[in-house]
Amino acid sequence: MSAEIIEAWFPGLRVAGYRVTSPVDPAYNCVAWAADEVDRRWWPDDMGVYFWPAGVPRKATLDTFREAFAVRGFLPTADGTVETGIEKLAILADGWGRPTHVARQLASGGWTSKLGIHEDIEHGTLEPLQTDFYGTVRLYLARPRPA
Amino acid sequence: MTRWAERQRALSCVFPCELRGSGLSGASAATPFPLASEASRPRTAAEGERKDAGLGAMGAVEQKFHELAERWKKERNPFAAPEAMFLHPAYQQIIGMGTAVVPLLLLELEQRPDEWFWALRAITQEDPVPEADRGRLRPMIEAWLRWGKIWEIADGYWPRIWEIADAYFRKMKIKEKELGRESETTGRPTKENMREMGRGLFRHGGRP
Repeated sequence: MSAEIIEAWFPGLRVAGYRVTSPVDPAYNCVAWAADEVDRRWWPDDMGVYFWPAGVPRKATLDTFREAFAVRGFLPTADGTVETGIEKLAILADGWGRPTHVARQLASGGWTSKLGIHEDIEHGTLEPLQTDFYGTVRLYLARPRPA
Repeated sequence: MTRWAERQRALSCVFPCELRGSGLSGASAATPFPLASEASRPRTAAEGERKDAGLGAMGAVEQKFHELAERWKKERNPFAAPEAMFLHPAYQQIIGMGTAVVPLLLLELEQRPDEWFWALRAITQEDPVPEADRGRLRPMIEAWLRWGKIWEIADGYWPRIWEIADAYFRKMKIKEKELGRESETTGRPTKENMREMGRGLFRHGGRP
């Protein structure tokens, strides 16, 4: 996916700056990347095509995403302020509250996102991802940062 | 003749029936499924014409599929959530084309992997992917390609062929009973004799 296409869909990234940190790899998607997995795609589709943690309902809601990441030790937190030793996730959802994207916070305070099944990028803030199709950040989760 | 049409020469007796459901014109009015004993006899001129009509219709299916697939790839948001991808109208129309496009979907998976899993699940109502492989791209592709070859026909596909044949034979028996004629069928189809019929059709399909 060329920079031109990325910036066409996320014009805020061109302004705020970002860095592509991986080649295109369809093996994983944004949710898997947030869970630090790179060998499968995560999504609660009701046909069961993608992976979803066992026992968590296959429905794309903020609650199910909260439950899915709770399996990995993430709990709701107030905001995305960087905290030493704490790894945070930001879940974006559209106007109907349907999750659309998950970003993971780096130790530096910036964020890393897998754009669909295309490249990973690093971006300083979450604002450039808040578009009409990704929506806005609706939920923050946090856990102790793994060693 | 496209590669698809060549392959379907052996299976044209099945797909004209499928094409009737897809609304495409030119579909054969032939019986949807031949009896095993008919598999190797020479075709009549009328049957040859129906077969050609079937092959022409299959070319139309292939063309329509590729048009819809290209439109879907061009218009979709590449960064959208999966549901947004397969709710696209072109993707839904591909699903609406039914089982006739399943071999094309499998070919796409093999040559240009993309988000075709939902279409395959929706059309076939099958799920050949083991639980442990959900979300793993390569194993999912391989599971579907293995499933597509399960009827032991080179690289073709017969969706639930024995169920279709079973329904056909049942209707035929009922019809003959209504007409007061003894049924010519000797028994209900099984997976074993369907495979044998398939092999016979495939061998026969190479001749005009």
